[in-house]
Amino acid sequence: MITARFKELVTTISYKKGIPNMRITYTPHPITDRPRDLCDKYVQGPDPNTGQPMLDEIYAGLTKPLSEEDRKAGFLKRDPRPRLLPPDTPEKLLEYFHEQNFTDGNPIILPTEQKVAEMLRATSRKPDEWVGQMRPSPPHEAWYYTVEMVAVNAVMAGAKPEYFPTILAIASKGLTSMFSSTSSFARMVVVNGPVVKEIGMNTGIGALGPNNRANSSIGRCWTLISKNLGGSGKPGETYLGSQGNQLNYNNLCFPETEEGLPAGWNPLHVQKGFKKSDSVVSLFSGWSFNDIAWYSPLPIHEVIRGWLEHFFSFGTTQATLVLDPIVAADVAAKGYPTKEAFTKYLADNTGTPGWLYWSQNANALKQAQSGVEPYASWYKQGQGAVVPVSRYKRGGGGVARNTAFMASKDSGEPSNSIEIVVTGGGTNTFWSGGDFGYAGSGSVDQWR
Amino acid sequence: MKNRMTIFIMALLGLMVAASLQPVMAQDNSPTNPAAINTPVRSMIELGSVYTNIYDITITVLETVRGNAAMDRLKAASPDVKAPESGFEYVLARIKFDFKGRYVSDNLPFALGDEPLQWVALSGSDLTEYARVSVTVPKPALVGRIKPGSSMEGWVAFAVRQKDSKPVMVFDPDTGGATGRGKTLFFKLSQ
Repeated sequence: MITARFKELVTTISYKKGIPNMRITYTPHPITDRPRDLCDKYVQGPDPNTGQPMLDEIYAGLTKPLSEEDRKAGFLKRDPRPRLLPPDTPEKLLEYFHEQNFTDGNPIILPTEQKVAEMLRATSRKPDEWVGQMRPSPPHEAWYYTVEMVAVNAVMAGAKPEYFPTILAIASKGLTSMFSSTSSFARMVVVNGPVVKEIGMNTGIGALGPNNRANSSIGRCWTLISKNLGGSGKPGETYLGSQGNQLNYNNLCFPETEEGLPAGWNPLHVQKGFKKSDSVVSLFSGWSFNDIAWYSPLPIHEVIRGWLEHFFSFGTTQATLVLDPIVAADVAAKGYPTKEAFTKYLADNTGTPGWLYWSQNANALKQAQSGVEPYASWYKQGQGAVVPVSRYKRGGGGVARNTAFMASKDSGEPSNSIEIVVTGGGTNTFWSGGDFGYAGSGSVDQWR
Repeated sequence: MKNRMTIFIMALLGLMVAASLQPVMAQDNSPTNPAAINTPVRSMIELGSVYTNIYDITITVLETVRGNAAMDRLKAASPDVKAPESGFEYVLARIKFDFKGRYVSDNLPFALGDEPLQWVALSGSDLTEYARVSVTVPKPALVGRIKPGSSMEGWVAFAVRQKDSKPVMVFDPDTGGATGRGKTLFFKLSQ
């Protein structure tokens, strides 16, 4: 049984597992956060795909003997995709690319053989070498792609050949930028190391904006790869984000301003185990970002702490802070010699708004209502009070984590889920914060 | 002259062994083109869900033992081993599983599970899975968790029809308790 919106997904799964004729009953969609009486009506009503009463269909599916057709097994077979399209005018080809959902809706550079060959000259890897595999979400079928296929998308995105190793490093992670969830995921890519200067990325004023070809086209390419090589991004089928996410256009691609880091603060890639001299892409996953400047008598690290305590979005247990270099310097001057020292302070000293804590910790609520301390005292203070339990600590007693979206406990992850990246031009004490979590990093140098 | 011939033959044998150990890529592996014994197959698996990372794997069937010889080894591992069903016989395979993170930040272990490897018989393009058997395999068994950068060698056991001269082993990284996702791979269990 599955909701009707997931028809494409469940069909793929049944094929992938060798059961193409699996019996499936559909309910109307959505059921999440819908009133109980509505869901009861759904169960009593028809399967929206077949029109048959849902309960009858379930009963028949479980009891009717398997037919010859039901018993057929086999693996999903796809026809190979043509390497070249027949010649046509640029206008018609561009229109074809749009019609086929090969683009992000914006104009692209047509990937001619000559342009793709130029892109391929920027790496020592062979054109037919497999780079990775990608799928819209874990249950979906994976698509596999080569260096040449990635080069086609790099051309389409408007990338220069010298950006190609960075794009290959992103592709080698196999992470789609358009994750198929009804919650409209966003992704972020942070670039570190010598490659930032080599390809002229903008680390200064407007680093997060549409002001630089490398920042823009590398991030854009990730989405084209996800659609064209990862099978993602077909609304209603392989993309189910209810509202979609505007960050998917270029996936917040920017470099860290390493020269703007306070003394003692390591660049992101060094924090993740790479050498400072390595060129690295780091990928993040989340939903939304806030841009913040709050001029107050409070020191800036306390403003950040207060924001983290009260901020909420779909992801409530992870955060990434993007600090302007002058904000990072102010924070460091308040006694935080490393990024890790500051994130520890934040995780140790943020509480959780009562309404959020009680809505996500059913056991704690039960104990509070039974008079068990300290829950009972916290509960007495009301839903508006802050409960002194951090939602950013890992392995502690914080807010229940949505583990379906989280990395495994075995990942050697740090003790809290707050990340810090420094970028910007120092024209104001602005910083950004959002519900993004670190997903992984890849070496650019391995793809040169 | 004799010494030169010996060196030449040894060099030739060395080259032949090296050639047989050249890995084949997963894209060339299919139900109709399963990997031969002693031929490593390179592929990749994803670990994580929303936070996916790709890891590289190489799987090699190092040797197989079948019929009475397999039964003898199973008895040595556990004297109480039951005979297979009528018309079936045991096959044991010693398998090497190499697991590598692509980058220094890739640190998730891969849980191989208890039965990620399945046996199938090939009949045209249709695949029919054999029923799984529950026996104590010779030590070491190919089970458990592997950390990036390490490899595991161990035995797996299944029962196949005696008349099936070309059984094929299937590796699916998200069945049998395994925790990854990736291409299904096929391996010959006969020379």
